[in-house]
Amino acid sequence: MKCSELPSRLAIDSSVVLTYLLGESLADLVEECILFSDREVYLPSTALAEIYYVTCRLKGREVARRLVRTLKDSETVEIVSGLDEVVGELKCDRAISLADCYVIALARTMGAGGCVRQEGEGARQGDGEGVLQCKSAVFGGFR
Amino acid sequence: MSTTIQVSRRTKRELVKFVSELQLKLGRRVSFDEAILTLLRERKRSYSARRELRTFKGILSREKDEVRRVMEELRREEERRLEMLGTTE
Repeated sequence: MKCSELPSRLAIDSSVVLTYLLGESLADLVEECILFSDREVYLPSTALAEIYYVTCRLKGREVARRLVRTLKDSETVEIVSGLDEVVGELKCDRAISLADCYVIALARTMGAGGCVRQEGEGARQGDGEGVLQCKSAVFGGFR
Repeated sequence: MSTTIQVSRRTKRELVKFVSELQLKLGRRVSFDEAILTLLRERKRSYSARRELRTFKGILSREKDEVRRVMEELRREEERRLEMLGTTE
């Protein structure tokens, strides 16, 4: 995937930020093409809670707090809340996770494309990295 | 001591908009001077946060399997909760 192929407005979920924290080769892509690019990047507030939770479980409360504050202050992503009704509608119509519903709702509301990390078979066995799946228009589920 | 600077109409429009947002937020009158200072302070904070954000890259690199496990656990809990709600009738 090339940076230039990504839409100028992107809705992402926690998996994209976690990819950056994991520091794999995909993290370079997230850094250059998403977090530190000129794009408008949106993150649902529920995803921020997930990022806090995962970091808190693995690195402790202090690191989690600092990360979330830094993410907010850096203005690299815009944290969006208040998507509840759109999310409820999506969940009602489709058998997909609430997390997916949030990112789809966000993409639709902001007129953005969507980007999530998708795990491959190899990734499940611990020898792969997964891929970033980005769509310029989001109509259905990602996974 | 005050001094005069020239800005375009567009910049002035944006500044006026920002001043009224700031007034709403602070609940008091705000001058152009204070608004510009606020913008500069915000930019400084954002720059330093961006620098700090780069230090977080790879902080979970030794915990790949745990990250996957915690996320899977989270999704499973969500599914379990929704299933439970479906069987309460």
